Amino acid sequence: MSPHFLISGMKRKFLPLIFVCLSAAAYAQTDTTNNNDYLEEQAVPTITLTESEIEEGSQDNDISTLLQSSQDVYVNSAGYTFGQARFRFRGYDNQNAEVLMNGIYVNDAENGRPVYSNWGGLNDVMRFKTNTSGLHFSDYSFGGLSGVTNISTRVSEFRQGGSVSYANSNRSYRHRAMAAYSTGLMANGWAFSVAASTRLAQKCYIPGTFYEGYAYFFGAEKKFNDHHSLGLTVFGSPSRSGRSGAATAETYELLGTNYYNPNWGYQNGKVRNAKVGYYHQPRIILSHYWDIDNTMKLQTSASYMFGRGGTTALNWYDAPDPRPDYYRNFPSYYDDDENMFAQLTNEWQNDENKGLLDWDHFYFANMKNLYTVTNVGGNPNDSITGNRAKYIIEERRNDISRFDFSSRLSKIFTDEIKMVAGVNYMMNQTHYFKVIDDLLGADWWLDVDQFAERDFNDEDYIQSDLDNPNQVKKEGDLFGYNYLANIHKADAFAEAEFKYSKVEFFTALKLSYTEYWRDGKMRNGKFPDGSFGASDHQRFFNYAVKAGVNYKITGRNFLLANVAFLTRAPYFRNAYVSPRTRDNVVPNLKSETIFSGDLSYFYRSPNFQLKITGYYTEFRNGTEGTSFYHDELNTFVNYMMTGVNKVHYGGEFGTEVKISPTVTATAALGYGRYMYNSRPSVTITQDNSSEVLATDRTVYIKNYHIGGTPELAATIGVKYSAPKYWYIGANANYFGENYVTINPEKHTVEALDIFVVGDPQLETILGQEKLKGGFTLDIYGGKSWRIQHKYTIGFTASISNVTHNTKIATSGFEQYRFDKTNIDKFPNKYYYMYGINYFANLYFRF
Amino acid sequence: MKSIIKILAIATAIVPAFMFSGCIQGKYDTPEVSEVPVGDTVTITRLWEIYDSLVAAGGGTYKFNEDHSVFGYITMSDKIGNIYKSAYLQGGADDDKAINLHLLSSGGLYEGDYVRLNLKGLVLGDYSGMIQLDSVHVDNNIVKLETRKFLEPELVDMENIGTGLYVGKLVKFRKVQFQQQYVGKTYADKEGQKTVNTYIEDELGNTMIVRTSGYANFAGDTIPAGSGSLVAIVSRYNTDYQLYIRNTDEVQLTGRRFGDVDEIFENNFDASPAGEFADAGWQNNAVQGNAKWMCQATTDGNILSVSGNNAEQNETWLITPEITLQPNSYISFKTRMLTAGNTLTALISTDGTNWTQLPANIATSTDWAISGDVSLAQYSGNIRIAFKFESPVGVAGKYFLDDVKVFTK
Repeated sequence: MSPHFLISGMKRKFLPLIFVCLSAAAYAQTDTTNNNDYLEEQAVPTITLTESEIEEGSQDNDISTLLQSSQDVYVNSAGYTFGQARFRFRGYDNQNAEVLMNGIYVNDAENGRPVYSNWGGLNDVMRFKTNTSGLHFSDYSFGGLSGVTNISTRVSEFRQGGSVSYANSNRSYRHRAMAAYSTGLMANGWAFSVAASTRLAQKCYIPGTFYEGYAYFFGAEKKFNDHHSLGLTVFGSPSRSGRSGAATAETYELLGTNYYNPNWGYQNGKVRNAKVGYYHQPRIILSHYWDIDNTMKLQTSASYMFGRGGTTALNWYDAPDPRPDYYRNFPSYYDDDENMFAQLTNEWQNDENKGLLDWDHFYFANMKNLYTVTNVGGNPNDSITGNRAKYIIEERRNDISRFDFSSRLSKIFTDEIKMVAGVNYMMNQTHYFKVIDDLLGADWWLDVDQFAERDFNDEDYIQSDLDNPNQVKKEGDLFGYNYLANIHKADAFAEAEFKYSKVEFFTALKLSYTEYWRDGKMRNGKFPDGSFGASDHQRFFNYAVKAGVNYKITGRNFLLANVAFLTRAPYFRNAYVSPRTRDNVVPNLKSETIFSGDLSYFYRSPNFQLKITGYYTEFRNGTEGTSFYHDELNTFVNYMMTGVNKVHYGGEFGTEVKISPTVTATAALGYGRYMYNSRPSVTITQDNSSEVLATDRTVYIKNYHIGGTPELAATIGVKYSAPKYWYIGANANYFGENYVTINPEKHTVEALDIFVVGDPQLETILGQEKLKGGFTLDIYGGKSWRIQHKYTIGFTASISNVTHNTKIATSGFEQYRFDKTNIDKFPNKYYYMYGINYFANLYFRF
Repeated sequence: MKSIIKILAIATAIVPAFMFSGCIQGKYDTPEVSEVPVGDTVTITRLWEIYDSLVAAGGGTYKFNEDHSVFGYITMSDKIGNIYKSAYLQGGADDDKAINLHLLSSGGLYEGDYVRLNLKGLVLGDYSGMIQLDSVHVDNNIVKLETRKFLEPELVDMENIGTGLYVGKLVKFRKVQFQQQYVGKTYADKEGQKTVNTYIEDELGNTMIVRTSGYANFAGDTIPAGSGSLVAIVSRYNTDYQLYIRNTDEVQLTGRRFGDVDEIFENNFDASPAGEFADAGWQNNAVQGNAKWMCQATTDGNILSVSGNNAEQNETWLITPEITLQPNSYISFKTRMLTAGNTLTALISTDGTNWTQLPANIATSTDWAISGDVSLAQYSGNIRIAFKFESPVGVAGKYFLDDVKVFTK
């Protein structure tokens, strides 16, 4: 079956849609200097485009080159200016943004999302990126719906020289120091590059958070002859950071701030955060660059990535819920008890320890909880007496071991015709388990399931590890669950690009095979048959086709159109109903089908450019999963939705006007609708019981917003670039039309069965809250000096949200707990955009 | 080469940065943990004295504002869900009383914990007839001294529960069973998470409430049919005493259900025709006077009756057919009496000539009286039972008889 055939078939099917959709394509080769760290660490943006250098575009007649060098204003705004509002390109999940490194696919194997923090702090050496946004042709791969970014670590192409810099900020960290040096290609055929950095904060923008990150990079390349070069890259970015959490409107009102963080408290008078992420997953890439002849290149890379990932969390046994934001700690829980309401209101407003974790109490309770465990390890004669932990810090680990291979051949046949073809292979094994991080003064933790204990009169049932029952666990010990996520994926793609004077077009095809399975290493007492050993393998065969055309109306007017049709295997993360405890997969697990198209009009003259794009994307038969801690069931509850259809459509506008040789004005606007387009089925399970809470319940969310991103974002900016190496600029932004993400359980018949028609509560339950939008203002500037024509010293600074607008919610969600008898019991939670914040960087290049 | 030196120089500069690794997030110091103060020791017996005086004064509560300590054993916790935010604390041999603890939050106490309870801030009072210490914070008020010190339950007869002496205590009934109507049902409504009251009974017909929460981990278990021993905590709700089972291992109702018999001989007279009783094999002999046992219909089926004649002395023997006993046989029947002054005697004979009186319970009022299961263990072979009615001159009373049954159990 030829790509052409597929596309023509698809066009017939979606012909009406093509008229609806308009589209964008941008292609930008950028040497970006990323000072956008706070975005990068939150892993928010779909594309990590950053502040762009304004370049004079070449006057080449080749349309795609024109686009490539043109610095798409809208795409830049989406990647940078809009990032602070957690704007997502076209409303897509980040898994639609493909990131490659020397051709190796580096998105997370299990959920498909790029993990920018893996190379956080290595800005100097990771800035050689090729970005393709949207569905346009990429030289590197078939690409994702929102584009593809290839980061090149080919050190022979790095400019010879070094740099050191120091940055100060009040965002995710306070201090950053970076140093890098590259030799460039030396006479002996070798090129080297090293870089290292550190990022530190005792306290970041949000109370209780901290940051401690380091990074290292080593690259070497040997050019053997004109045809062959071999490169080695080793890098890693170990980091430890204290996390923040969302909170309800009530919390924010009581405290008078939108930056409450429930994850921390004082221990011995010292700030301590319970949710600490600690990641160190270095990657090694070996690349072979083969210039076969002037027209043909083969780049082959193999990569190995490994290391620890983990986030700590409080766990507790047979003790009151220690979370300060537990719903019973709030006045609203005592609506009918005036005294308690007044007392709690007073405490929240006046007691500075209210709302914090009480670490000292955890130690107090843990150090006097004498307990005897009998039948230790299943041995009736074995017993242990000691202080059993009521509260612990556990670390939920996800250690990675991953091998990737990629080989890509590109061939230029004539000036008009180019082909790229490649194969990719990934073998990922993620080891999921928990370890005791800190016993908080206790002697040990007993590894049993407390909910099961309350509910079932059976000693086997409560065991996390049936083969080694009643184990006491000490710091560093593995407990709770233990399994491997094995994912193998292979794909092959081919693309052909045709360039003629009036028209350019391309087609691309990708075939892929995905296979994954769970391998349990612990026999869970509740699921003795489904928890241990290798599960059945899930196998998916998928295909993807896309095509695009650029049409030159005149030398300044262009029409661009792209379409894609693909199927996509469900991600491992969404496939298993409760992977921590068993290997059951979601009922009716199948591939998602995606159609996407865009159409753009592009105008370009020396002092003015403008682009208008419309896009339409449909996702069909998606599978989505969410897990959350259910305090009453004392366990994780999993919502698995299947048959999720979504539609994303909207328009994008970007323009740039050169008012004078030094002053440039830009404007960008994105406005879309990201909606559910079906009534999915939800299956609700809990980790600690085989009892299924709901099976295939219909979720009435058609025409609800997907949420999690502003659907409307706009910016107007002006920049003055002085001839004497300094510049200053400002952007005024607006963000709006952001909706809370929904709890599927609320939108079922079962959730509403106690209400009569016309009950005003129904509107409250079913209504989807629109978050408050608002305006912000950013300013930035920089200056550099050349010293002895050899060195450069300079600084850049940016101040975001200058007007300190703290009322813009960047995201909100309906809590996954829902009580139909008291619909206000679990109100929505929100995250807010930072108030005024800055980033200042001083650098020295040599 | 020069470049290599530069790289080394930078590496040297970078290394110190890594040496600060961990400076942000070091290991945290263990906070100094305070001790729960001891103060004077108070017995649970003393708490009862205070409680009794509160009750005598018409209610009210007593709040402890000083450090005082009570020592005792946790006999029941809320671990298995039968009680919630609650525990029972019982003193040792020299402090033979028990009390309910109402906890500020559930969890953290286990059966067999030997604890010291600091009373400061706690409130002694009455919760619907139950002595209770309120507002117990498991961490702040309780120090666990030892574990797995399980108190032996106290053997008790059901009729003595009403003395109130056992309130809060762990007791054991030797021979009880659930009333027939609860057998085969569940202890509580696990699905609906509703509490259910069931009843146990002893052989004497005394009954007690067994209260089980729908959250108990055995709420959905089936109530056993047999008889045997049962261990529970005695609680009180207003004027009712009620039992809380701790776990079903302590419900050892595996013996034969009392009331369950293998009948050797039975006649409930329902099939006998009305009029003078003359079932096959039976003898109905008016030894003196003319009174005969008559069969009469009632709404509960037929019964026998015999009436004394005012004008004469009556002696009438009702004798069963020959019955072949098995080892450890019993007899039971029920009787009812109108007008005092007559006598009815149950007798047994192995030869039809020599009769021995049986120690059966005979009615002394118009209420039906159960004979009790009268053991015939000392007899064997073929026997007959006789019901001898005697009515002196001047008395016109009546006796009723029903449900004559010889059986083993």
